[in-house]
Amino acid sequence: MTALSISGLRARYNGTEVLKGIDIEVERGGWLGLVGPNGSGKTTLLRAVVGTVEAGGEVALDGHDVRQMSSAERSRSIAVVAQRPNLPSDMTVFDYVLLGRTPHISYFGVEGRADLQVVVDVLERLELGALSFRTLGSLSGGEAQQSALARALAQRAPILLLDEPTSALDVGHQQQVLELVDELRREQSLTVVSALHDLTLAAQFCDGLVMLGGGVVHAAGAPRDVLTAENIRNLYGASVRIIELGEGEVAVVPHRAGR
Amino acid sequence: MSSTLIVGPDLPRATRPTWGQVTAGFIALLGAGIAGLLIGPADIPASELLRALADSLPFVDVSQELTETQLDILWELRLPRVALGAIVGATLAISGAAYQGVFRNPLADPYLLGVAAGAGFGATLAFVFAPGAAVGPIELVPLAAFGGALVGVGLTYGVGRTLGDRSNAALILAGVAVASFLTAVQTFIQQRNTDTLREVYSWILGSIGTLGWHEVLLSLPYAGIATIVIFLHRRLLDVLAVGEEESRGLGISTGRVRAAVVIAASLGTAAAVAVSGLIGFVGIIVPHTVRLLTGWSYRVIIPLSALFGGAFLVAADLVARTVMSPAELPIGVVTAFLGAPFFAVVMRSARRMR
Repeated sequence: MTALSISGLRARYNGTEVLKGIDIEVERGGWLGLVGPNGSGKTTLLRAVVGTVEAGGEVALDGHDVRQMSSAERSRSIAVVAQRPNLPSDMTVFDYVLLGRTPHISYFGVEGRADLQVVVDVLERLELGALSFRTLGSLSGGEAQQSALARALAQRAPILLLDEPTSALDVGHQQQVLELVDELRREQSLTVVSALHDLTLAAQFCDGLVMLGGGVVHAAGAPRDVLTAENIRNLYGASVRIIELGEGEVAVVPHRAGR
Repeated sequence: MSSTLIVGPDLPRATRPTWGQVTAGFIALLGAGIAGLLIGPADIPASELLRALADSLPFVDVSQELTETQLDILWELRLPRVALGAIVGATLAISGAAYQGVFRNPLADPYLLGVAAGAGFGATLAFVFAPGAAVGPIELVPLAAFGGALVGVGLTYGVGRTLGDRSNAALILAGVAVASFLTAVQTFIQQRNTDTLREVYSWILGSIGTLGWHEVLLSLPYAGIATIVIFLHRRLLDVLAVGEEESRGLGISTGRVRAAVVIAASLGTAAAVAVSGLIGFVGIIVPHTVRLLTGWSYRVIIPLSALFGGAFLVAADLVARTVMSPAELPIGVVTAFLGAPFFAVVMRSARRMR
């Protein structure tokens, strides 16, 4: 069943049209990776889906047009982790994760027991319990990234958008975070859409990839079909080798031509 | 990594003011109020004051031996003065905290944002061009002051944005420019209409000393509405801490929240300026002291700023009327004397935060 369907999506960024008609469908429980060179519109696409940039075209969640939804309804359906989340340095992890409950709390309301319980559950699940009352400013990069993920999970939205969730992390933490997202996806049947820089990681974790370039979908499909040396040369202007790792997995390795 | 968060009937709570903090706030306000009632040229003994206060409560009858004159001083001079100090101080402090929250700028303050100058400008227009006018039962002057306050903060925000720089300094520089401009226009209008000069001046410079219950009743509804609206938005101000885009991603209509809070804070400032004239820095000193002592959350800063703001201004007024007794210092001199150095300290720590 289609959880997220995007059709004819157009959007501008700083006055230039960066998305010129994008069609994407994501199955419930799937993980779609968005790849493409810098400036290809990955972030703008995620923003358009969550409604923080103006966009033309249609975005539907489970068949419901997002434009018919209130902003709180939309935020109960889609949670997003920004590429560089604002982490107010004096705020505690607990209070920060509780912000994820915002779409479930009425305008003048305050959180109830159920909201606090969700926060506790999420912190437990991500093993952040011990950090609950630490301030965000005192966390390591990996802990901060996990806190941002925890805030999104506290929204209890069926669709999770991740904008470069691993860009600030070392290789070990990259794997940890992506494994965690994958486990959560299976446990909670989340639908995940993530922009990813690292093509090899994208191939390993996503069921399907969409390669954006020039404002349109340059290629879409299974990772090994999208990540061809030719596609990458055409779009990134990069010379790479695709190495078969067996069982359908591939690694993308830069290759210096002429050696 | 082990997880040690205890899950049970006692869930952890979001940051909010503790009973101790709230009690301290009420004690400070009450203490300043009692000092304000006790201290002055006419001697009123503490024991008699307490008896008189108790006697004034409904269904309580206590014998007290104050003279008619002493009672008059207490009820008609000192008590309204203390009440106004508390109202104005609480409103300026909570408005300052609110501006700091919506603009995410620690230096925001009703005076530095041009709000107070706008209120003075609006009031001057009303005095000069429509003296004594009213809209239904409401006098025009406070309404015009409120309109001017909104114009002031709107201009500041607009000019600050065109500087293309979202930094703290841009907004404050814009505020200084707007305040100077509005003050200049206001002075010009004033000088051209010297017949209302005295009225305007006494309104703008009005200290809380010459005022009575009429001003208390005049300012209370506006100050009350402003305080309640800001208080109701305290949780949303915390959400805004993650920035415009992420707040919207959490389902908050940031424009609506910002508009509601700015309008409320400007209404409060206009009410305060309307009765007390220019009293600067309260909106900076009080919220920042509260912030330094209790942390980042507006759920704590907003209510405690109201309590300590009231206490602070009552105390400042006490200083203003006693240090040079029998002469009186304008209360704005006292707050500026304390506030200007404080502002420099805040600016230093705001720089370090970035």
